[in-house]
Amino acid sequence: MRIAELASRAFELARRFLFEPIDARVYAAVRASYGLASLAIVIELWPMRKLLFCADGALVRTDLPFYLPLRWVDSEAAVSALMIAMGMFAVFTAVGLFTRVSTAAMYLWAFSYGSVASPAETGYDALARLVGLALLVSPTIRSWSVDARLFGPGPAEVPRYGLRLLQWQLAIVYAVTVWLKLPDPYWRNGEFMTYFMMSIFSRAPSAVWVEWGRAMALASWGSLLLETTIPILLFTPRARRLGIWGGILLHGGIAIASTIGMFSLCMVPLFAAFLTAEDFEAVMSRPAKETAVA
Amino acid sequence: MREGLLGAFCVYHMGASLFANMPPTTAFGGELRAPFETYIAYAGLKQAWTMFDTIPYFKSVHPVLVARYRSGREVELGPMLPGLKPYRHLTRLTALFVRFTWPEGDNAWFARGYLQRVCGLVAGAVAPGEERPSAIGLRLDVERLRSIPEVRRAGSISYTTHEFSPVTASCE
Repeated sequence: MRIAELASRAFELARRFLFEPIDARVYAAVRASYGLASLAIVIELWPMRKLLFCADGALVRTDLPFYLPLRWVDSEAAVSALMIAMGMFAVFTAVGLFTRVSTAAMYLWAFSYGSVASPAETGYDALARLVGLALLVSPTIRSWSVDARLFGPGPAEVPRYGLRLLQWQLAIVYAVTVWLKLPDPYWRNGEFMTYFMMSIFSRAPSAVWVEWGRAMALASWGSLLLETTIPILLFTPRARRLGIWGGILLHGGIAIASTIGMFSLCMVPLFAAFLTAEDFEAVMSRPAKETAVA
Repeated sequence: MREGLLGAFCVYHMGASLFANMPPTTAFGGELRAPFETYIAYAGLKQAWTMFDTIPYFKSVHPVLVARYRSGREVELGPMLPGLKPYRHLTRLTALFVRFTWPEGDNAWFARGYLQRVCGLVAGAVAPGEERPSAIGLRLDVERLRSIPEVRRAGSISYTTHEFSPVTASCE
């Protein structure tokens, strides 16, 4: 009897965890930021399209599943046309036009270029693919979308399971990276950031960073601390906004100091998955309050 | 019913995301990952968050293709296909050419395919009677970072080395 009660309680908790209704604007924020990140990747890849995707480029093709668009094209004209179409779909995703189709296109595109050009794949390509898949299986939403004007408004609240998939993915990203970094002697002694700032990934590689040893050590340990605590803060309702500010600090810092700002951009949809209706109310009521005070 | 199916899918997806990160070198081998393997492959859940798990080693990289001839002559070629154009630095291409220079897993196969394609290109451009290259290799000219004490001593942050990919393509 007791076991049955416990099982029923666990089931109810799981049900609430996955299906509790949430403001549809959260999905809209994820979708819009995903569209912008995808557009940035298409623009980044454009100058490399012949090298990475064309038959006379550097990469020999492997067998791709039939549903991946790059399986079917390898000439310069066709690859260019495909990328222009994908850029268009990225804009559609951002503004919510034919949302389901656009999101599917972005996911399949991310999956296919990552497969064709796997030796040139980066962490943010994986993020684009994983966020795309989670959005594709998420509920249909019409908030902040052109679709709402064309096809009528959708529900104001929807189940949150798609956001849970994204939140889980964010937790995995940080957990794995911290797991791998912690045993490294350079992260431990705080020298990591000095080397990073002198490296190919720095916006200003210089010997000056060696003289900033203490600041670099604090930045190294601070990064580790943020990567460790951000998921915990985000999953703790009272500390959630602190987690979002931690993410802005960490990824804003990466975007400013390094040449891999694309990674920061592609993390935005994962952080957006932790927003709630209160965040939108807080942002939208602020100008009204300021006007009233004035 | 719909919630049950969706819930089961979400739990399975979360499991797959987790075990996609499980290295095959644990005592479990591939056992834990096995139930998710097909889904990971066909849904594109492959992921590796090995970003900066240790320090970066380079201030810059510059790949060059080297065509070797039987006579002992060596000719440098640009690595950018099509057209064997000179290297133009883009952050993503650092990953590509570093992976071709120190290839692991599938990257050795990709590197070989790349160099064989270059072989075909160079051999096809040779005029009748001219010498064909016997092999094509990849060299990475690297500005390698010095250690912090060395930077203090030398006043410069890097020194130049020439690294050769173990993968070459025979053009004969």
